[in-house]
Amino acid sequence: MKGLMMKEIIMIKKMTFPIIIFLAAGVMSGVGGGNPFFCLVIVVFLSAISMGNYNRDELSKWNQYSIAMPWDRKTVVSFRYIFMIIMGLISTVLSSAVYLLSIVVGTSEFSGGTLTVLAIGAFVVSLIMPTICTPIAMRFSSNTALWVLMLIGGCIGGFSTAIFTEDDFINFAKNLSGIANLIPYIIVAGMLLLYAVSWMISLKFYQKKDI
Amino acid sequence: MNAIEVKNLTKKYKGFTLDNVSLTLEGGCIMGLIGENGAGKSTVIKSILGGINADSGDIVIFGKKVSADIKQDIGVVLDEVGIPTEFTVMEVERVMRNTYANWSEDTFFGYIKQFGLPLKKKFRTFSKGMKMKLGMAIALSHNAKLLILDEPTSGLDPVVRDEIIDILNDFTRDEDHSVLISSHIVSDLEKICDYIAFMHKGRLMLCEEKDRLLEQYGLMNTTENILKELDRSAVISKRVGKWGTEALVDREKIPHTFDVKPISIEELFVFMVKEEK
Repeated sequence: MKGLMMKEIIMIKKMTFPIIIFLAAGVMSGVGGGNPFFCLVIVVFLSAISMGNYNRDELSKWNQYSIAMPWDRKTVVSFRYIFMIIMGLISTVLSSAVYLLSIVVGTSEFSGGTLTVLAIGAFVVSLIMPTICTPIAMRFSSNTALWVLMLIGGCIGGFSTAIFTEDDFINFAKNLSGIANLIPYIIVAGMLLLYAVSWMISLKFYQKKDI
Repeated sequence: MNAIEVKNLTKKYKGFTLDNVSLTLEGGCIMGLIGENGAGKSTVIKSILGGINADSGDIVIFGKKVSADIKQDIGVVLDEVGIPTEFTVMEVERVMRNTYANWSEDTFFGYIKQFGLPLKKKFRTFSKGMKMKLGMAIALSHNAKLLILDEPTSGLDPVVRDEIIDILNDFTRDEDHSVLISSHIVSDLEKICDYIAFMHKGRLMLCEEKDRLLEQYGLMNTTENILKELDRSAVISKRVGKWGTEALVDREKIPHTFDVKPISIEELFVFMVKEEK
């Protein structure tokens, strides 16, 4: 798996410029936009990297060439999912950092509830798209998965903008208490369950696929 | 120990069937897998590597089922070298260094220098020949005991093809090293192979020692009338031309009085395919 990770790191390094652009956009939106949830634009971008790289692998015939490499199919699929979690954790850290930066700058007030919802929201949003799209890519092709990804990305972008900018939601996040504290964690647990199911389905599809 | 054993390999697609292919590559030997385009050579190779799920049959490499561990000892060049297009040779080396346990950086860069490949240019700027050379460098740089090469010389000029053939000859000086090489450029295979396997329309027509084939078969220029007098099983195939008939014959079944000329593997293959048609 080290070779797969090295390949992915090199591919991400080649995306330095777009990553910087999106990070800058996310920081400016989250810090300067008056609503820390605007930084989720970083999360949507980071979550698309996994699928984007898989698509580039297919186009360059890396997936076919990799049958020559000393990896079994389980390792190839499992690497994709481990990479997803890593991107999810990076998204969580970055979003939290933007929120804390907005507090330092003075455009937001600190609230434990907001931080919790933002961190968990970032983690969940970063996982949703690749969780749904990866089995599609394994069964059909990454091109098909990318179309689904754009559809989901559009929906997430639309709905999350509507939800996260609502005053009611912002107040709810700020004032989490009692049993409402559990809601974000229930959502994470649900997301992780979906992630595990997606992993198993992808494994089954990829084992049967002729590469 | 045999390097590769394939038994009754079958795979069905719409419009094509790989039909009950069995072959054995002995340790220390080079086997050429010859066939026209679409004969099934790449399908056999991908099945051996586990890229294709066969409908039936068994494949064993070094006495074991194909697995990730076994692939540490296999160097592979496929008809398309699928390196990410933005990667340079230096970046490819970093990936392979972290992939193969027995990776040799010195050997890799030695081949890169020998092949004259640029270190910092992107893979997408490489010509087909350069891509193949990089594939060969990767396959030869991790102390592989078995090389599996799918059309490795296509797109290469004669000088480089000769270089590759020399490298393969050197590789098999070690008795533990074996090579399975597929190509439709039969003249390349004729120079180096110990065994020849003919494939045509998904079937393995024959798999035999090259020297035995060249001893067994020959070409006869004769007439139809004379051919009719011969043992029918002696005449494998024939080509009727303006000036006479050219026949592929089994030397052992032809009387010594007849003039039978030597045949090349390429001619043998063409005759066998045309006979099938």
